[in-house]
Amino acid sequence: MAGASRQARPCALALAMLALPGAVHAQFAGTLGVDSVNRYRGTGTDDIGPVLRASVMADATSGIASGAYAGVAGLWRTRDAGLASVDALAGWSGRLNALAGLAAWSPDWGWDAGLHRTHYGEGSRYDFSEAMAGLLAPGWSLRTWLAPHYFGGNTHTLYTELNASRAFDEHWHAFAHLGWLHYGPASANQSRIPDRTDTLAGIGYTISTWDVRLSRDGIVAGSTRSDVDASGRRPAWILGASVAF
Amino acid sequence: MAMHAWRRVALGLALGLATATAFAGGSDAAVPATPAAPASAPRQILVMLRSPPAHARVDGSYGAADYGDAARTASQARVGARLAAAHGLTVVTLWAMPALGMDCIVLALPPGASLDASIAALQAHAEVAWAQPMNEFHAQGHLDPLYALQPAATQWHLDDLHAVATGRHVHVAIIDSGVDDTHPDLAQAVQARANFVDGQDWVAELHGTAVAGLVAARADNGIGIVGIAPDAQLLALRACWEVSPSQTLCNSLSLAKALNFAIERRAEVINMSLSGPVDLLLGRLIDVALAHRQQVVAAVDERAPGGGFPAAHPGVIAVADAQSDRPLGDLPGAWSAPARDLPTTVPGGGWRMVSGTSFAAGEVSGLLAVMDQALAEADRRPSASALRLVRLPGGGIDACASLLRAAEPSSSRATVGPGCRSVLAITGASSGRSP
Repeated sequence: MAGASRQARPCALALAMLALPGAVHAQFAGTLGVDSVNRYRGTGTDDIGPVLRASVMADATSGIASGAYAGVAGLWRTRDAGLASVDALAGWSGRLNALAGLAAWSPDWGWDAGLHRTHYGEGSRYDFSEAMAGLLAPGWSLRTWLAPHYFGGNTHTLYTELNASRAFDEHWHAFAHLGWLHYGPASANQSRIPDRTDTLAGIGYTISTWDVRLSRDGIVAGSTRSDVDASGRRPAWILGASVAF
Repeated sequence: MAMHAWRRVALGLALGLATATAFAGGSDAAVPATPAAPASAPRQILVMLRSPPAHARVDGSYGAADYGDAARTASQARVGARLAAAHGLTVVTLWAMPALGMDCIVLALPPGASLDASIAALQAHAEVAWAQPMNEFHAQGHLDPLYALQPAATQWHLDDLHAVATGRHVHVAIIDSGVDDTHPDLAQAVQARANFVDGQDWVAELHGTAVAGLVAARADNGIGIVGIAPDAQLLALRACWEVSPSQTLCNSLSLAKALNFAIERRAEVINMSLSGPVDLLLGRLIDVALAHRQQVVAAVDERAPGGGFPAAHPGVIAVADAQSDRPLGDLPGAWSAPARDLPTTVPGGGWRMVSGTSFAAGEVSGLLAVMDQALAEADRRPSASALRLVRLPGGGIDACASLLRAAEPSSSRATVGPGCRSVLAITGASSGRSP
């Protein structure tokens, strides 16, 4: 019971921010989308076919130097209309030039930090929480995520990712991702899970508030956990489309 | 208990979606699919919105802190629609200005509405950093269908300059009307082009093509003219549009978009051969460019008090007509350059004579590009060329001495051509010593 309460805490924080009536100049943004396959950090989390996504994020800021943000996202299976997972993310972000001694930096350099919680609709034993800190610059971001019990496991993990994007014109853009998952020491009588590296690269086309993306991801070094099925271990193409509101 | 927590999450998600969708209806209704034609811009207001800092996303995308992403655009459009509805205005367009950490929304006033009162009312909103009128700018210079020699070829000893540097690997942003990048004298000079004029397709125009030719017309191709920096790479940024052969206009938003592009692409030199009223948004963007050690060159408007904006903006390299009765006018820190009867490129593959400070500014931009290459090859920090310009009496530029100051120690007086050597002997100027 106490554990369930702890699990719900990041979600509650995210929802509380969304619910704040007229919070300090809150701005909302949301997306609705579909992906041909569900992938997460280089692997398929489930053989569930195309998935629908919905997300809402809110920013609460009184200026442009820093502000709080929070959001929730849902993922639904198309085959049986079941809920696959819910993610909640809440934290704080800011611009580097607001920090002492960095006033000359461009305002498009920034930092972010937050707490992330994933809940799986039909497999809550895989639920996990992460703490995140990141550095952002025009066209790229570097983040690290610390999870005490990644996918419900007994060892902590550190996931570090480098993301990049480049716009070619007002419509076309390319993006890439490199992630490294490091497992901490194993508990007694268990072997340590090897680290692994995943990549993703793709192109996107944006028109108005619509976005279409084609990408490919996969594990390029290391191996996946033993409970990931064969299809989930293979690299995959991902075709996705979303609309923002 | 866990199930109860889960139900609260689902309920929150549904409520959040419903709330945001309600806002979305307003934005769709207020943002027209086709932006208004730029020529109808005088009664518009630029509203600068404070953008929340970028951060991680929860929607499954890894994200790279991109401005201009669809969700952010939709969010800011909602804010713009709300402001417009509150003050009886109409949303014209929205543009991200990441160089300032803001988003710009253009609102149109209805007939009879007071511009000043609307601006004051908008500025009362906490999410508005500032609001300002959409100013109009005019390209400088008069186009004259005559033909003569290039004054800079002799006055600046171009052959001798080019023996040292030609602007290779230096990027010059031409913020102007459309450049004819198919002109044979500009072959492969234009590295990138972008159109920031709403409601109009890209078109090659006279003013921009003329400035581009003076900066970077290719050398030794057997045709036409030689640019001051014949190996420089141009960013042809169309922010102005030709109303008639003698009138080229721009506005605050189109110029701001182009400046933002030039800042993001890190153009070493930014040429703005235009003039208008003091503009807060453009001034802020110019400050960002200068902070990035980019050099901004602008034409002096002799008819405007103080030389006009942006020439009079602190840090901008203002360029006046060397043959004017009072070339520096109200700007004693300005530089002067040949501005009359300059042969240059025109759309359609031809050449003609032009006159005006617009084109003098183009020549100085070219000279700075040449000096930037020399600085880079001397292993010194580029984009500090303006600090090495050597002034002649009356504000003219000693191009030979300026280049030598930039090129040392990789070049010295002994390595320059006879034209430059004779000038240096007369003026007493040499590298490392300013008259």
